[in-house]
Amino acid sequence: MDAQMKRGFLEACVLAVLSRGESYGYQIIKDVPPSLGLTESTLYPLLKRLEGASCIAVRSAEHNGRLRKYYRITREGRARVGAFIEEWNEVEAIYRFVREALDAEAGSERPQPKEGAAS
Amino acid sequence: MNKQEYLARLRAALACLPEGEIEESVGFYAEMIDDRVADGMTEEEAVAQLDDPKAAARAIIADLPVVPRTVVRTKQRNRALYWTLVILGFPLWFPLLAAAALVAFTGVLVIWLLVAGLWMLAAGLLFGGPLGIVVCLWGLANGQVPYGVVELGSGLVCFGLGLFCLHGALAASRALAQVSRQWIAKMKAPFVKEKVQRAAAVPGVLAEVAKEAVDEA
Repeated sequence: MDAQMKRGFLEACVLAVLSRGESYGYQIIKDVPPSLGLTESTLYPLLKRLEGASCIAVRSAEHNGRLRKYYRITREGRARVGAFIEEWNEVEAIYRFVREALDAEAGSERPQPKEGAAS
Repeated sequence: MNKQEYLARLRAALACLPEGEIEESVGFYAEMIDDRVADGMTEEEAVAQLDDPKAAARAIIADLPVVPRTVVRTKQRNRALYWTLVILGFPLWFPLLAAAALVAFTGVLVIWLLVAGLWMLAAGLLFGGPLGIVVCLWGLANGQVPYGVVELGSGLVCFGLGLFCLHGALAASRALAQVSRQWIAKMKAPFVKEKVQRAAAVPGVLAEVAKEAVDEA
């Protein structure tokens, strides 16, 4: 998959996970589907980016005698996931168009019955 | 590799970054290892699940804006080359940087002069009102009644236009303040991470992909 596109998908996935409630790094990794291959080295810059765009808010809280960072989705974050969902209708329409165009091309490549052969 | 070793290697791989940034990144990975240990793994198992420290550092550096990223990557590849470029390239990069800064500054200046111009126009027209009245009175005092009436009328027209302009200047100031903020953010983008809202970057990516798909079809 195209790297840019995957980045967008992962961003949406992380926001979707956070829209269910506040979470922390390791929990996010476990919650995102493994097929997307989200690792720490992808997650860390992603969280920083989302924080920079104020899509998420971060707080540190004590957990078992150490500090853990908790991430929470913001209004902007929800708006971004919403926009992602809406965008999909358009993407689907384009997908259908591409699909049909390819199918039509495959159909035209088949040997056509010769004109005049029937008459 | 245990936790300490992993974090030490990560720290070494990030050595070209500012101290705060290194601490934050190392803290994140430390938390990740601790959470796995709390989940029942040993330190070694936890570290084995993480990406190699060099790959982790690469991902962090890849997310920097273009100018610091280039600086960090050059420094990492060859420190001597970096300093040679910085010193010998000074006559090249300094004027370029200065020109970029001046372009940014000129943009802001142009935007705000436009705002100032509108306010001055409004102020001038508003001043025309009282001035018209004064000249009218002076005309009447000198027995020039038609002249006085014309002055009064034109003074009032000026005042009316001034009020109209004032309204426009207020609205324009608000709009141009926004433009000015966007301009500054755009100029800063290659150097520092943006803190402003990057509206709809996700759909933007999809839209690009979609456009390409249509073009190709």
